[in-house]
Amino acid sequence: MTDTAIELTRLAKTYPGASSPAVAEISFTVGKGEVFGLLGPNGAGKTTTLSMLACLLPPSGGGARIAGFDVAVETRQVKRRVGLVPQELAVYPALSARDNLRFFGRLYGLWGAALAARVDEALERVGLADRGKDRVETFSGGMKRRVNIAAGLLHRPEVLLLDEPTVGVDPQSRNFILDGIARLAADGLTVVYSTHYMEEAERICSRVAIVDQGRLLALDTPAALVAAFGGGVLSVGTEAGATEALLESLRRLPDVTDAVRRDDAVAVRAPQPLRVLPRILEAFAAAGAPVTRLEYARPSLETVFLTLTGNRLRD
Amino acid sequence: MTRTIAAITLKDLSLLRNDRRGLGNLFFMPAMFIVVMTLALGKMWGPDRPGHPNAVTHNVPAWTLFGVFFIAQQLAGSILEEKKLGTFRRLLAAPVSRGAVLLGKLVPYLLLNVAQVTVMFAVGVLVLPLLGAPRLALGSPLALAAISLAASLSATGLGVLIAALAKTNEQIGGLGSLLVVTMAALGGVMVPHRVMPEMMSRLGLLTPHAWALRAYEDVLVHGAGLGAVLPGIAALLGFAALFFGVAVWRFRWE
Repeated sequence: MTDTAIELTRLAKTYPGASSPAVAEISFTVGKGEVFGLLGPNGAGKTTTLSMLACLLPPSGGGARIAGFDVAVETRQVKRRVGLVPQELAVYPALSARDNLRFFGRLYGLWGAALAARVDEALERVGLADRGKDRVETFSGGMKRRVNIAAGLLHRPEVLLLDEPTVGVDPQSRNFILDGIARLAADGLTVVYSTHYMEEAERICSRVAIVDQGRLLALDTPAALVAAFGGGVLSVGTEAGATEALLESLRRLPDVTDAVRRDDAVAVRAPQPLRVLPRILEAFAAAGAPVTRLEYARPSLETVFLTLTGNRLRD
Repeated sequence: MTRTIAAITLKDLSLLRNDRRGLGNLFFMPAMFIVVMTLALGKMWGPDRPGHPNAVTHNVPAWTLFGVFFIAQQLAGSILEEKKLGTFRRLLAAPVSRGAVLLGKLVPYLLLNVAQVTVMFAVGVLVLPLLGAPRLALGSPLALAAISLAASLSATGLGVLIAALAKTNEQIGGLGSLLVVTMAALGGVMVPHRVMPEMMSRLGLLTPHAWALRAYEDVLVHGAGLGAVLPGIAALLGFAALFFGVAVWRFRWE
């Protein structure tokens, strides 16, 4: 068991007054030093799951352990080992980056020279060593995100929980953050990383859990998920609009997995969509719906998600 | 526990240092009321007679108290701001107790209240005589300090209560102004309780202000010591306990 950093056992949360659970009996384990992705659209239950792991929210069913400690009972031990990076920019804009980090370090019992050293170390890690004295409100969005991450690292946690850490940042900061996460994991830190950006998860996660409406739909390495569920998706637009008969005829085509109406187009999913493209176009022509637009999405976690939920990840 | 409280206190004080508008409200406003009301209504109080309240012995403690309770809004706003920023989640994710978090949010405002009271009484002792008003004789500083601290506890308690009940800045502004101004009016800050009709004066005892003002008057006018004002202090601590109790009961730890 020494290689397990996080263990969820039918972890569930139903908010008071809610008719359906925000998290419905999710189970998985995360190994030490792993970068584990929690993928799903807004409202999938990602933040609720992370909140329970960070002892901010009591589970309403099942349980979870961090480094062997029960999140519902041994909260002090868990909190000492967990670094939380909330989705909000949870820092004080009117204070300098250094003063922010000093404050959060003190909450973990760091004072004096030890605190100063940790603050320097954290600023260094996120590439803000030369901006420590500046107020956070003068920073760009990406720099603010980096201070937010630094604040979760001060007490050298064993597990870092990152809730959508790259929302609203420029590509350069995004790369910096993603590389930084990979480096932290290489140093032995276990990272759970929630996002709705599939490309990011494919890039840095060793395994991903795909969640939607509180349920765990699939869990594996990105490559294995793409191989199992990926296929490719053709988005075919027609001004005539897709009738149910057209969808049915598409679904009957050999080598077509599914066809659904999506926005003003039809999404046709197939293991190798380009091979069946001619027959797809024939079906549209036969239905009197000439094709006006055609898009092809290569097999990816995005198409995995589409396969599993029938929904697009980003609305 | 103490380290957590110290950490939050240091942080909140350095945030307050940058809050010019807030500090203006807390220091300049009551000081201005003390000076203007004392000078404008000096005649109403008649000649200065020992053993009788005058414009100074009423206005200094009354508007000090007004300023002390004004802190409730500032405190409530600061808790709401932490929630909006997400820093409140960080506080709760840290290995510290909820009690330490709440106390950490209180102590800086208690200190601010102490500074307010000191400045306002200094205005009474040092500034008002320069403007031709009678000098404020402090009587028992120990008794004054005890009354002020008890009043500050009920003011900060009210702040946490407002934070527990209000969900937006607008609600804090609305609820805060309503409570702070109504309580001050009823409690005898604007109009001394002795000129109120009996019923109003009694109704005023539902506010901490009335108890604090009577205790201040006992010390400043009648020369009472700490022992004589203990009932008033107990009443103030009762208000503090009530406000904190309801606040903790209704507080949203999220």
